[in-house]
Amino acid sequence: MGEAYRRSYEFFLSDVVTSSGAKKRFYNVFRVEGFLGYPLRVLVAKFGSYTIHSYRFSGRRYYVFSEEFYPLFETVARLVYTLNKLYRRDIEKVFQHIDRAANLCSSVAQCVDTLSRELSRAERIYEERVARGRKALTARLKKGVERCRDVVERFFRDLSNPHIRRYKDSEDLEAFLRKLFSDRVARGYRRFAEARGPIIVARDGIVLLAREGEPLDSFSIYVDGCSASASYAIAKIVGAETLNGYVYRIKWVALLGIDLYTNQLFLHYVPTTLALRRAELCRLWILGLVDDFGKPLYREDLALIEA
Amino acid sequence: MGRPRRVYRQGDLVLIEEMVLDLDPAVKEGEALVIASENGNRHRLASPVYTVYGRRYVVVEKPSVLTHPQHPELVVEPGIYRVEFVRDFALNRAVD
Repeated sequence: MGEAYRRSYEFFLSDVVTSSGAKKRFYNVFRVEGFLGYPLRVLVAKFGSYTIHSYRFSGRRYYVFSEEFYPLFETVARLVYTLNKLYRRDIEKVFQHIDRAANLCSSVAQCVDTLSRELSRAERIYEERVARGRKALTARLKKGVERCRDVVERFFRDLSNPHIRRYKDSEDLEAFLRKLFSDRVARGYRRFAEARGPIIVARDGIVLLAREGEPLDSFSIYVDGCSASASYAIAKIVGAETLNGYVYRIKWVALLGIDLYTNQLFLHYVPTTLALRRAELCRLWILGLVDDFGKPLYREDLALIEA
Repeated sequence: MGRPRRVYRQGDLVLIEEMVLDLDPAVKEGEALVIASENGNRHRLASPVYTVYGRRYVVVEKPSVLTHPQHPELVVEPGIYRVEFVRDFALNRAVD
């Protein structure tokens, strides 16, 4: 969003001497360098007269500040990061906030204090919002479990008490998976378990795969939605870590189903971006008809004919 | 809006109608679509199969029946269909 020079910034504390710096005899100084996005630009405008060096390289202007500026720029970076989340990536609001905060101070030390206070305030507000979100998400998922109790009891009874298979390491897991699935699928699940375990797989029954010693107290599987027709029944399930009774991390989202013609269980993982979408929409993702956000991939209406 | 795009699903097999497709670079693969499923049964459709840049298409010239021993038959209307399979985020590609 916006122009690159406004939205991006980076800076670092460096003791590497560039050729340009060497010519100016900056051998033994720490330098704070920044690619000046808007927030840093505000501060550079404010403290421009304090620069110890500036130069152009590859079409950009670089400013070199003394080490005392490092905490200031570091605080700004952390503040921008937090405000970006707080204002839901509305970059204009982030910049306005930085402007306001920068106007409240005059010296470097005073600015560090002011921006640190702003940072604490922004973090507190953001954490409160996250806590409210976790509470609402947990309530929603618990409600989904109640709503789909009948479908789960009828078709996926194992889900409430799955067989747990502990594995020593990735090789042990893959060896186990090869007994149930083709080599390619076993490899795929192994990789997925390494990144997002514990995971479940379904064959004749439902198996929860967890590494040996991995605690499962804080891991829950919720049923967020379900649907049943003459040919299939599906339940959208969400694997999540909980903290203090609330969901704090969704590890995976999957569609557990049964083909009523073949009486075969199936389980397909879907992107976690579909965590809050309907079970039927997740099914359309599995059929390749919607994207990772649930938007249709085809312009035309679809006539879905199934058996 | 024109007519809807037809999508047929039988088990893990998905046929997605192509509204426009240049078949000039197509390489004919066979006279019928035969896909073996995990349990050894086969999906069958008696229509020629082509490969275009690594993708498989089935060209249905008259209404044809897609069969599988464990699923009800599906009558596939004339058209060009891309052969796809259900996909899985964990496996990062289609389950075939």
